[in-house]
Amino acid sequence: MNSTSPARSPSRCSAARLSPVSAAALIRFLPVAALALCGCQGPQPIRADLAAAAVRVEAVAKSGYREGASDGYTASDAPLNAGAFERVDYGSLRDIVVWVEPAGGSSVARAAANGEVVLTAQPVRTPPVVLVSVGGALSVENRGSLTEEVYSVAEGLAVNLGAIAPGEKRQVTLERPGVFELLSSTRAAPLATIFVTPSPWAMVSAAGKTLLFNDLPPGAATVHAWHLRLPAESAKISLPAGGGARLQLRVGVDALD
Amino acid sequence: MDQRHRPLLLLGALLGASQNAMAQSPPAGGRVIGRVTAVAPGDLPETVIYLNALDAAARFAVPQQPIALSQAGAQFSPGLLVVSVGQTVEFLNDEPRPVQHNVFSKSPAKPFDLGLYKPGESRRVLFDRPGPVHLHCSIHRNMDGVVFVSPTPFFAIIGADGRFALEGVAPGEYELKTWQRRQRYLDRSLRIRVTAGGETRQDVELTRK
Repeated sequence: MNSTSPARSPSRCSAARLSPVSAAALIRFLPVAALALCGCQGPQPIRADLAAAAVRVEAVAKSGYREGASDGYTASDAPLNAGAFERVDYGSLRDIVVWVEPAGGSSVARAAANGEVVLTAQPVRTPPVVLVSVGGALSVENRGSLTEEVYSVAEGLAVNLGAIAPGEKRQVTLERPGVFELLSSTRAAPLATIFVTPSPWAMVSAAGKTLLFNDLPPGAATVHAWHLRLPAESAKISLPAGGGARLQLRVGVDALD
Repeated sequence: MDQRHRPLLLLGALLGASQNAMAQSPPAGGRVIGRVTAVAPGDLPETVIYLNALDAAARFAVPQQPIALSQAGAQFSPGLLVVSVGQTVEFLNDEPRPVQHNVFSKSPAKPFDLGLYKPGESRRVLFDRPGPVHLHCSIHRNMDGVVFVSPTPFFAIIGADGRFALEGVAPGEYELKTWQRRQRYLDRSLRIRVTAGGETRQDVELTRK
């Protein structure tokens, strides 16, 4: 269901009431003054010529999976959540990219999102997901002790920041949407996964959070979620001028179905 | 290891060792040999070399026996498996302990979800489009692998010294192509001709520009 409202009702912090496992769908009306439900920080006005969307992101395990019980674990198997057997923690899944793509482009200007990668002398254990929107800048700062040649040769998304000396910072503008690994000539593991969104209305979230976009162009739009490993849902919404909508997107293998 | 899976695993290992069972069977095939090099020696782990037929109508025999892929120890083994379009992979749950797996992929070449399954069970996937298919398990966060689907049965994973040999290649015109699991260099595509009983030598230099 796709519900919208020009709304004048009072603020109400109701984000926590969203079903944690419901399919991608608009939940219900989003009063203008209730947009603060995302962080429950009080009302935030929406300009009459703009619209808002509150997007809740949930990460869910495969339907039917019950940790422990369905695996038949015994007490002696307790270490089976460590090392290679470490399980996905859906409750605290991080690095979920969410972006809103207005249908047919947008007449509303918004600055492109920029991203930053900081290199240190420490190895990169889990490459972070860094968000940049098309036209935005990716900067890389070297706080380590070695000069590093930073690049990507991904098809259509190649970047070459050259040799970055300790203490130096360089940047490059990213012109095409997509995802690529940012590499260093001196490290085997990637420095970061760079996600370039086609739209500047984009954020990186953790599971269980509600994201607020309050400067969207009114009209039809599609809200997307993305995670490096897990499939994620997209949903179409309709955004009224001066009002908004709420929806929930699910990240998890069931999103493939 | 589950004994029921051992023969299949052995067969899979044999197929995986040659990475090219069908390429060895045609008696009149040619041979393609060479070496892949890059700026930094030892910088080419998990690099695949394969042939793409320029004749779009060309058809090649594909092994019908499924290739087994182990998940014991919450690891895909092999972590990089190369198959030909039309081949089937059997994903074994060969855990010795009561551990479920849920293999899936969201890769465009083959999105699939095998669901939850227990030790002693297996599920099959037919790979019918070329390209990389990244594998994950929805339960285990570090369980990642990849099946690279070659458009022809003529492929190899290059050795530590960069050398490769494709045997029994059907005569014809091909693109000799590279694919890297972690793309450190631009992939190359070089046109070659393979003749019956002949040997074609083609070295490949990978660069960043």
